[in-house]
Amino acid sequence: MERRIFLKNSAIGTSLGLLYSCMPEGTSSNEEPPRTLTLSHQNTLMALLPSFLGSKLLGADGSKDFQGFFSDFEKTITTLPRYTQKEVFLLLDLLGSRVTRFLLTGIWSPFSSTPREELDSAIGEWSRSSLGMRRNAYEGLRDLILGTWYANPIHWQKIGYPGVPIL
Amino acid sequence: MLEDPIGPHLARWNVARGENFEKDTVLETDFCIIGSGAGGAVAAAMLSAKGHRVTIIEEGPFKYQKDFHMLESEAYPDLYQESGARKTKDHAIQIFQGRSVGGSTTVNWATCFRTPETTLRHWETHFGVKGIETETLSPWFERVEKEFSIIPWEVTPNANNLMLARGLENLGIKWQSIKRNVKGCRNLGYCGVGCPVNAKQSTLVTKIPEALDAGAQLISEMKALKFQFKGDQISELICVPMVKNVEKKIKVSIRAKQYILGAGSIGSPALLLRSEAPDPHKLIGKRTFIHPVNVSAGLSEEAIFANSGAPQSVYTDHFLQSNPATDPVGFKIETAPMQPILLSQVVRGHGDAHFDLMAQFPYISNMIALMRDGFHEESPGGEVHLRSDGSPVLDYQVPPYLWEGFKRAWLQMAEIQFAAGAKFVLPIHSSTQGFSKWSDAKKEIPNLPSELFAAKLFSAHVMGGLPFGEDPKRSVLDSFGKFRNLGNLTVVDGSMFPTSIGANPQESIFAFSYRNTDALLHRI
Repeated sequence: MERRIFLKNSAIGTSLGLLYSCMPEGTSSNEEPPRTLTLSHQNTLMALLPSFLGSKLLGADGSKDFQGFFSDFEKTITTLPRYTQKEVFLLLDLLGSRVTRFLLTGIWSPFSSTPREELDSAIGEWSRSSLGMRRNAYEGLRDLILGTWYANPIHWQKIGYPGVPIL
Repeated sequence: MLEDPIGPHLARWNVARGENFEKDTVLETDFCIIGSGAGGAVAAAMLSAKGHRVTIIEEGPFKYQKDFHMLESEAYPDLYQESGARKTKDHAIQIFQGRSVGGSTTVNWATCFRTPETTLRHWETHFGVKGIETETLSPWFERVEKEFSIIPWEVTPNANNLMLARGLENLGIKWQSIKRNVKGCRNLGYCGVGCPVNAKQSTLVTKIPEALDAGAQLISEMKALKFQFKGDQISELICVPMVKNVEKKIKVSIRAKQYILGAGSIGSPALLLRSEAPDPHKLIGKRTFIHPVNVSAGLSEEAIFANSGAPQSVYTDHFLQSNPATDPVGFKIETAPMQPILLSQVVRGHGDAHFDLMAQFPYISNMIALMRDGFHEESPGGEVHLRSDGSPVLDYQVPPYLWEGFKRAWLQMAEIQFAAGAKFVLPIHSSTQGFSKWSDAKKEIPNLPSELFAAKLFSAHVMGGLPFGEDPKRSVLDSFGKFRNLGNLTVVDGSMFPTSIGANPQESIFAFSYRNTDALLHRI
């Protein structure tokens, strides 16, 4: 019941009765959110990052060692309020589960086995969704990924940001 | 670099943090002030100077110059509500509010305006607020301007602000210089992440040190949970100490003769809602306003570097010259500073298209339009709600009245940007790829869908939720900030305003806090 209320009130939970029924069992709203990404979360992000960040940042094949990014991503999440942390982990859970992934992104197969072109197209559709719940989930994930990326000074030179002035 | 007004004095000041509390504790004081920003700190300094015992409670940490490294990655978690990710209930509008000692004055862009005459007269006429005649308020504004070093910015504006000035001039539209609360400003441009040289005259470096010098107590990382009542009086404030945003499982009770609320226009109504404060007309938290902001980016051939230089030094009120109660919404146009994280959130989309614009960082200028919400019946504002864990969230629906204003503002900003020499203009809305010609922009901007999330909307000014006035059916405070249904509560922050201000609210909050605190001293 708590989970249903949480979903209903959460960033990604508008009228999510169907999604709720498809959800794997997880934490209740009284529990502390996890502190680290699970392997499943990492796999989800690993598959999505090339589409979100683009080939101009990552190279044509999108291959990159994302371990440093995962660590930064976890740090970003831990600075958020507890209810937002829960929403982020819930979203990653939803994206790792077949039915809810399909409802959010239109992709049935695991992201890791989905061709890049198909992922790019699906995320593009996701970003234009007129359904508030889907759009909200996209925006939340997008902001976290891009915010985490550009928080790291090693990525500033590529956009021409000179960094902070020396006092 | 200016003298550090905090570090050398900490040892002799009465300061504590949440982590210093190990067991349930009861504290006694004369005045308990919740919040250390524009409202709370002014009240604290005024009361301490008169010899009263004052305890200031601040939810955020006590960070100051030594902690300010001009990094967004540090500033958002340390200095902003919800790490800078606070949003409206539907997540469609991002809200920037401070949460550290100094409140939003620690992270704002040092922009100061007196409360506009149009706004004051509207409050008088439509809300029956008394004691806000120009001549009555002028001494308070004069005092504030002197004490916070609020003076016109006479340094050449940065390139981002010059774009605004040049575009307006070329269109024959009047612009003005912004007054800023700075002293010895190095023109760095990083006001929004904590001034690293103590130049910004935030309450962090002015009124808080003054209050502490006069014997006030400051407790940071202390969350005000709820008031307890005895009859029509607040008997105590129950607080929870925090360590790095995690609540300790103990409580700190503060027993005071008077309570002063300055926790901001989401935090203050939320505290009263959690406390189930008397509210016979169900007004608490309603009519909350945010100056919703939309953005237009411009690309120039010459470098702009909107990260560098005073963030806001030029503005125009040309589009506010209307009757706010009857006409389409008016808006103020200013600019905003840009740093990588903020820009990454503003630019729509993802992937290569997102990077293509990010890679133009040095050449991007911007303009922002602040909607004057709350004056027209079609702009009713939002409502503060409590989540199941008691934390607040603002439910703010964007009515058609405001969408019309956003589109008009995108049009006006695009015209100004082209007139200033921008080669490309991009209204921040995912349904457009931007325009190389004003004629194309003029044709297509009115057709942009009125769609949340497609348009990136912001707010850095939250006002209302505990309106003042003389009509008990429309106001929870009297005209001088006294909570009508409790004998010992006064409100000194922006939540007292019955509409938005129509200008950046910092100076208004300073002045009205002085005024309300002075009235309190005469009352008791």
